[in-house]
Amino acid sequence: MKAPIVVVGSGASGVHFAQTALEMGRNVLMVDVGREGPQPERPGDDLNSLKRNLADPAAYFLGSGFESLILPSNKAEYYGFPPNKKHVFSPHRQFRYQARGFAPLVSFAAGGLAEAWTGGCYPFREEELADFPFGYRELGPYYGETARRIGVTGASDDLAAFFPVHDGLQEPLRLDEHSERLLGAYTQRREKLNGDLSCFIGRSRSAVLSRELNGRKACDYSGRCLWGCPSQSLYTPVVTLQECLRHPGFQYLRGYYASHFRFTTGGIVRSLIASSLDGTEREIPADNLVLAAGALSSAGIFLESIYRDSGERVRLRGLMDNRQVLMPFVNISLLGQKFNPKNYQYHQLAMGVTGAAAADYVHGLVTTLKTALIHPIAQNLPFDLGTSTSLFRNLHAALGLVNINFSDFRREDNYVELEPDNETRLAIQYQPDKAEPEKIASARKRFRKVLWEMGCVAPPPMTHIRPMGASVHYAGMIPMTRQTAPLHCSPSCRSYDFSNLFFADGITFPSLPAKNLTFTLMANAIRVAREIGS
Amino acid sequence: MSAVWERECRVYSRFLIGQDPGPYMERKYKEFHEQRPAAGAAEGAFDGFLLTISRWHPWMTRIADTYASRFARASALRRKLVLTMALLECGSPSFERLDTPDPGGLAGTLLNGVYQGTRYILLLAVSTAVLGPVHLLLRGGAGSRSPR
Repeated sequence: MKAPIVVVGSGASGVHFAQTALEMGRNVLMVDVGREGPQPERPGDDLNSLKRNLADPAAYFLGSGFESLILPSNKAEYYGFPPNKKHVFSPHRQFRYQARGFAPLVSFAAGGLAEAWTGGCYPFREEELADFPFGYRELGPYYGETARRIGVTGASDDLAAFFPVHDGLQEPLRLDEHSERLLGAYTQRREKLNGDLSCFIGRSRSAVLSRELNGRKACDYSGRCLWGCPSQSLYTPVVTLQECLRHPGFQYLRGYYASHFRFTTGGIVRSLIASSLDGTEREIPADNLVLAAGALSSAGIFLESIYRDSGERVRLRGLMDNRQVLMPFVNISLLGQKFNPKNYQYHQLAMGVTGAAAADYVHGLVTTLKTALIHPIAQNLPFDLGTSTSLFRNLHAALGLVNINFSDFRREDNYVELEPDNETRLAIQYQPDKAEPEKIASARKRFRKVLWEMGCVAPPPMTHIRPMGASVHYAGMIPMTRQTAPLHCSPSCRSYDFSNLFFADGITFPSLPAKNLTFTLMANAIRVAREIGS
Repeated sequence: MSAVWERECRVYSRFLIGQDPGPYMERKYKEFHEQRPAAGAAEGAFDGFLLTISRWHPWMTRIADTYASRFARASALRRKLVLTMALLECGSPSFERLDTPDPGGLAGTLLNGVYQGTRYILLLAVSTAVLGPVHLLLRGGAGSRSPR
């Protein structure tokens, strides 16, 4: 019997790699810190019923220590993470870093960062895979397979040119009234928007069920998405982790932080070193090691392994992330209307704005703000809070937000290495491309015009440029390439430095289109598992 | 201190939604101050002054906050008002008040917007004339900048 494949991390990449390997008859040992979140409270209640029925609703929505309350002095974003997602982002004492120009988020939760994602499933198209050692024809079937596993809703509409239509799509969810009006306005002005502004609008691709799938129920529109879907209609990697746990060939070593691996002089990984919460080290023999801990954590394991063996401090270049700009807007036609909280709460519409080259494509996710807490936004209005509250009551149904994503590419100046005076601490350095300010200014102008054409106003001072690192789409430090090269990996994500080391996360992406990469991470993890397994 | 927090919570709730808070909300308001004393504390003489006058009556809260919205956005008063707003939107029945628009549809909203905007500008002028000199006198405080 073959030794198990050792997989580090239970995020989107790790679980899909593991499930595929299990399906192929391999045994898998997953090493993971694996923090767990609370069970959903009153799963049958919709959002407003929760506010009425919970004994302590403020603890549920703001946290027992008020940690999700956004105060004016926080200089924070428009929204905080809900208290029941606290476990997703809580740090680990062994993962230490110093970042310049980058605000990284890493997760040690079971399911990883995608436990707090918004479900965007956007396949990369042929042009966006130009730097990858394979094209859409090779990756496309894995998108279909991922969609069949997790459940993805979507439509073949004006955005099909930007998100290829693959197998396994479920029909889209019911639109909320605001999204319906926006789509109606787009349909009326399609010619002008497509022609003058190169803007296309259609349904989002979302990892949420409109039909039952493998025992998971279809979305019941309870309006609780932002606070954690109580019925797992919105997919998160824990769903796949639970499936793996039911498989006899799967072993889950929870509560262990993987710090480095040991290898022979010939570049063959021998074992993985992981420590438990009390600091006890454990050496796990590994015939095949798969790093799927997330790009930054996998980079940390790789760098520390080399340092511990030879004292060499390697620099991994090419760190990428999608810059995001948040543009709140008001739909004039919905002023003074009452909103219906019983709807799907994440983005139901997406926008694609094209440029001269594939890399100029800018992707917007349109969220109509219904059940988000209002205090983080209302405090930013230029009025006293009494006036802001009164205005907000009448604006609420009309509010929306476009999350604009920009592409990124590998640059030498952006890297990850171990700190010179502290070899267990990561030094992360990121500097945006010089052309970025111009790109952002141009996109902001264009999106404002598009919104105006659709009867919406986006007040310029409310637009917020998120810091690099906030999108959590990290990639690029050990890219795939066909040519053997140190600090690179093969098209099947096998390290060129260690023959039995594989990567299954974003660290292998040679470029980063203006899209959420999670769906591609899952599809690629399945592809890599197939190649290793066979 | 408890009586001061109760009074603040009541006055601020009336200022924000025109309703008294329930016992649950008063308890949570107090709990916040006990758990995070620094977040509710005034940081400077003017910050403290704004808090004191804001407790007198919802109208004084409006005047103090109108001034703070321009010259002391991160003051203790603003933090406490944001806390009150957050508690109101989480609990029942206050969240329903916050989720319900005024009658009158689009036209009503636009008229209301003009009224609110005009009132804000007038109150900003009044509050700057009254509180500006006090601010200059008591210079300092978190997130505040003196009017020029």
